[in-house]
Amino acid sequence: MIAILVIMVILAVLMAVCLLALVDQYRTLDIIRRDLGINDTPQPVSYPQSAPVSPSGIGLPFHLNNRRRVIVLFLSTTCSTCRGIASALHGFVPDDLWIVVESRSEETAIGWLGGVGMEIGAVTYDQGAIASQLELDITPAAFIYEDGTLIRAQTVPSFRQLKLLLGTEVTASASTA
Amino acid sequence: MLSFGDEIARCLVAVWFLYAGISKLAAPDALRSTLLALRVPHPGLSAIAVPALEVMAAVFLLAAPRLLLTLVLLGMLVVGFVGAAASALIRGVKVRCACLGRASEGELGWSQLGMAPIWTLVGVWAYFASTSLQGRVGLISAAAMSLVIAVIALRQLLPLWQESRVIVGAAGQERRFW
Repeated sequence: MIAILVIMVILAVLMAVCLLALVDQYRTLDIIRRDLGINDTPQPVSYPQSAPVSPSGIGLPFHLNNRRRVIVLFLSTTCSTCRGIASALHGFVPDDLWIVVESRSEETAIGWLGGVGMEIGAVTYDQGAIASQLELDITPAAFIYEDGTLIRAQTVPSFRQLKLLLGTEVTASASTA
Repeated sequence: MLSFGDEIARCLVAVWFLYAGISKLAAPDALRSTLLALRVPHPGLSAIAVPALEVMAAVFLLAAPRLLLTLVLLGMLVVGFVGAAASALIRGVKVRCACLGRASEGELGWSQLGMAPIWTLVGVWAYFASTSLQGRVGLISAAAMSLVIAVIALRQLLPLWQESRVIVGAAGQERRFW
């Protein structure tokens, strides 16, 4: 009996050591990420000064010009983070969000959208024409328009960053949809 | 009443050593740096030996407080910690010590000297006066305390793991569309 209890103590101690070692590893990773500046931090995206300032100017629907604030989110069918962000929306596109899907072909885009639970009608499909006007070569990226005017652009490294861009109320409805 | 207080004090000291030992065993590098700064010979080996001694002392304090070995283990730890703290203070060197794990890193010195009499008193008192929490009950208590520490670690681990998943996902940004 005593031998079993001793083994139990040893195993319990080992388990605690392993778990605390994992905690330490994650903390170390966090320190490394912070030092390298690769945490979940959005980076500004540059665009040409001559780029059209309104959403319709780059080929997006005209009604977006009239919205007080709209975020045009560029996702690519070849980027894993884009898939994660699109999946996290659960097929629901909030009012202040417009998605542009970059893809080689319409079939690929339709297949990709089906995989993330979205319909082609709810987004704009682009073969590079829209992105090239903004000289955009990174996804996921967000272009923020206010009153029909381009204010700034940034990368969207995670769904969490998209939530921050969209605001709490809209996100709450998105996550419950 | 005095006996109850004695048992509580003994359990608290045991938990302290158990947590300190397990934390150091989980991240021996932090202790190794401290031992290097203190110019302790064989710092790699000592970084494992010291926390192993702490865990043993905690288990013996719970399961066999009246054993001479328990008193010897506690004595070795107290002498070691007091020696390390005194060495740092006398030499005027600021030595960082992850005495309760890397998260609670602090300066080696007066806090260790302050705790030494408490550890000694509890060890001596347990050796001469302890009556309960011995043998089986003590071992079960040690296992239960280790499991509680494991649960505390798990609670720290989950948010870190979730955070890491988000960031690993963010690493998938692409510079080209196709």
